[in-house]
Amino acid sequence: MDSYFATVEQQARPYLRGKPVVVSGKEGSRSVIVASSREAKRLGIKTGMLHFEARSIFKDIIFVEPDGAKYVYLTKLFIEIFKKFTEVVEVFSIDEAFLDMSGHCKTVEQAICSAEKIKQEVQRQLGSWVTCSIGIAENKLLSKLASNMNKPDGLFLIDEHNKNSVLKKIKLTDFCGIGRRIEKRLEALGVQSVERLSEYPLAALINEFGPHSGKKLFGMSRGEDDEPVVSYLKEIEPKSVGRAHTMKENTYDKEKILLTILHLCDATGRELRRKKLAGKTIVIYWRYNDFTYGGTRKTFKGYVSSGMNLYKLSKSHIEKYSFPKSVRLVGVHVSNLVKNYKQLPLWEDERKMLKVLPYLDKINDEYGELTIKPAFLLKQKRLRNKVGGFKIRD
Amino acid sequence: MLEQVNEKIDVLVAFRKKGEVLPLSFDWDNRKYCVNKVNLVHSEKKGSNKWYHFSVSSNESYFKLGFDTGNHAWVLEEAYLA
Repeated sequence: MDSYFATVEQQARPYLRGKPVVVSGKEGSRSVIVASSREAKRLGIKTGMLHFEARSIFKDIIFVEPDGAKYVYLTKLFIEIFKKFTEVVEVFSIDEAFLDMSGHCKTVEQAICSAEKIKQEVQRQLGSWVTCSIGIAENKLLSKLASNMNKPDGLFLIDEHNKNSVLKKIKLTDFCGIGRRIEKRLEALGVQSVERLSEYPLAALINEFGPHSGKKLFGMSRGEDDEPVVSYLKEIEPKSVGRAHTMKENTYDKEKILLTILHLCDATGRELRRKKLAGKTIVIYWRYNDFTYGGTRKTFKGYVSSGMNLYKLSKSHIEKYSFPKSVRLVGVHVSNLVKNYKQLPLWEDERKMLKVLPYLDKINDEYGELTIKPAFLLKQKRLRNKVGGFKIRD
Repeated sequence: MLEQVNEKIDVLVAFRKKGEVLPLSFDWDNRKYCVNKVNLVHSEKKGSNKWYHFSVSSNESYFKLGFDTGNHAWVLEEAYLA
């Protein structure tokens, strides 16, 4: 979808149409821009910018607060549209999906025709201001590239006729999976273009990046990708589950930090239980006011899915820790996961908690997060719902 | 300027045979507003109740109307008067 959150807001509120709009937290808050309208993008205002950066480019930029419920609802709508064209739909993010049309289109012309019908149906159901850009290619890597070629409201085909010329023109970071960190590492090897990457020996890439990433980079430079489109029906098991939160103001206050960690542990525990998972490795991390990171990681003997247990384990670490700088963001994530873990805890109070947890989860699912909560969180307000990390839930 | 209102209002609604619910007009602040266009509809759960939100235009003004299916009440959530 093109500039998704911003165009949805412009669809809902016609007075925003044609104007540079960004979706972000309240102006003056510490959030970043999560979406820029086409008009804002043309001015150079991008996702990830801070408020003052956007204002310095265009002083009359309009800030709109995100409305997650609206975007999720519309995402479910367009997924239903995609499902009418193929049952193999992989939801890549809240505004992107891959469709495997190989069972439905025998020719490129048929694929283009289906793509045009999808675009029309999206506008008919979501609104005339909401557009999508579609990329058609033989694999996910190239189709994702193609979808970015002709935005907004684009339709682009990459096939054997133009594949090499497309690969010659793009930057390394145009590939999904190559960000600034990998780009820097490639630059350090003297690889500054896709062409140069295609000339770099596979063995050397494996040596630098490991067997999996090395082979992936090698394939990318040739437009090769054998990852299948994974239907939304076959949800891939996550490698980790977690939550993070940016504090209202930078703080050294350990009590405030621990309270936030408790809330994050509670939410993470609920998410683990919802997915019938338990984890052994817990990472508590924080971002300082200068955007550097700190954190602590521990792997335990047993598996954990209760928020309180996650918190007790993290508290014992944090209490001993002395923050050298003020903390801006705190996060929790649990990995080393196992499904349907059923071993009963040794202690009676933990067994009692385990019996009660499903009922607490049901109440919080029905009436909202923190309807029932640990006493420590009595005065804590619900942390803002994530706009990212979209999950389909019926 | 966009104004958060959150006031209960009277709304005239059409229930169409395709299952669509269409707000036609509403009264607010001693004035009747005709709905010229429904720009977007979405729903969400608030607590145990399902809400439907209608983003509508009345001439050049914009309004967000919320319908609480639990209480059968309409609320004017926000307004931008042209």
